[in-house]
Amino acid sequence: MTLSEELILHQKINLPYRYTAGTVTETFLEGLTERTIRGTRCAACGHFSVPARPFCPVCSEHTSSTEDVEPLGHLESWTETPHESGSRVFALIRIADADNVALHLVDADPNTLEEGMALEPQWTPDPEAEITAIRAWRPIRET
Amino acid sequence: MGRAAAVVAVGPTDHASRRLDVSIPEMVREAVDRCLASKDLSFGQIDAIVIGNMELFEGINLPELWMATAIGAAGKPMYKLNNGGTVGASVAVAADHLVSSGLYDTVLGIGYEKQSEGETQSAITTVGDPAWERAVMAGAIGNFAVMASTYVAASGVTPEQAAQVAVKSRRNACRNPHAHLCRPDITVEQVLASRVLAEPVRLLDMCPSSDGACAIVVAAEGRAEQVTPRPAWFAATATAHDTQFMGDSPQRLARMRSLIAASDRVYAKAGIRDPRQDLDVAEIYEPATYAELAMYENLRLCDWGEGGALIDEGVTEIDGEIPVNPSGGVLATNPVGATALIRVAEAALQVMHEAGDHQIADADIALATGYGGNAWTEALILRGGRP
Repeated sequence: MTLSEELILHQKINLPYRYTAGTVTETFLEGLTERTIRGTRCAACGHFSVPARPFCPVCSEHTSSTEDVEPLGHLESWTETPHESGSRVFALIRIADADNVALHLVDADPNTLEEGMALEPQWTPDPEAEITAIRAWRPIRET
Repeated sequence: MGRAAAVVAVGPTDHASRRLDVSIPEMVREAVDRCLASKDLSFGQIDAIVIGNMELFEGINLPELWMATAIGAAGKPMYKLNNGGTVGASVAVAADHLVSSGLYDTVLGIGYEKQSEGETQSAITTVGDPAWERAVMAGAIGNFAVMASTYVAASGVTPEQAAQVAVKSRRNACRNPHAHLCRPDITVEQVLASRVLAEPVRLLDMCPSSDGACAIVVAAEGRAEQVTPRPAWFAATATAHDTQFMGDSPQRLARMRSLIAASDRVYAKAGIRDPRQDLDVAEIYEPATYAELAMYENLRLCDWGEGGALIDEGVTEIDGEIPVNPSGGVLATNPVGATALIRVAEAALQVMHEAGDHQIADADIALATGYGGNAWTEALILRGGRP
């Protein structure tokens, strides 16, 4: 039997999608619209997570309130990914004094990056309540 | 046969068409917290987790990965199931297997669905055979309507009899603080006046779409009695599958082959000769009123063709001879991935004598069923007292 493209069924499935962020995540996302980054500290084990999350990633305890943090990141590690519109740098960034690191983008020539480098968030002009309100992080220039 | 296992704790969430107050992980945690707190348990006492839902309904994938912290799963064995409406009952059966086999002493079972976040009917349509049924299938309702028509033809049940099931469900739901649809004043006339979704199924004949979750804890003999004085022992469980292709079983509701197979097996295992006499209560997965009437027949609560007479005579009412779905059932509360686990949880509450305002007095032996994808059935018999 000959395999033919004509024997392949092409069907489109419409699958709209909504996601309720929940209380703590909502507070975090609302903070972004004011160019504020928020974290959560676990009342049980003390773990400090940035971004804010509803359950402690270490001990599963509920977190209750968020804390505003300094918008300062430090570069832990990164990779460069080739892309048609120029390469992109994906990085793990420790934000403020968090016990964890966060995945985000870095806007810089990858050849200039160094471990532990200080980074600042680059906000979109009119930040919306999504993590992409931070367009990317960029190295803080020495003054 | 392994060692005896029992449901020792149950945790429902509140239900609504849209739970905008919680994310999926927060909603699941609500069930888990209530379940553990009901018997003073903590995550530290859970050896393993079984979790199930229909994630395509929410347009997500492997949510267990990003909600592990919400269910205390990090570092623990976790098993994930996804097999349609049956999944919640499969979670309970799997938890029973994991405990009765001796692998774990205490297992947490979770089912959940936040249906408001996706397109359930689109997702259900993908369940059809891709080359034939998917393209001409119209979600769950059209499918049920075709089956209901064949059942009406076979049994002669009337729209009035189906409407009585709708009334029973929504009134019973008012006794259950966690049910989604409580309608204390609902009448047969209102059901018959509701709009036709697909002949013969009307709006009030059909289950709702709910956001919610359910959790149970299953523990081994020895451990179970330490957790609660009257555990709900798994007396028998059975899983049965069938072909889903519509044309292969045109009498689908009138003769539900996988339900007959599964229920016959658990009746035999649990020593039940006359289900109507021997069972104290049943929590069955009835997606539509006509399905409940058909299930009376398939579960041998009455003779073939007598499903309508059974509701006429009030046999399955909360004060009847064999109450069916005193919780309000699926017609009142339907977060699909949790729905079948709610059946098991409600059956457990009945034999634990913890069902509150919808408690059947002195219930000792209860039937629970899960039903999914037209073809997949779980049946369970739970017994109170000693294993």
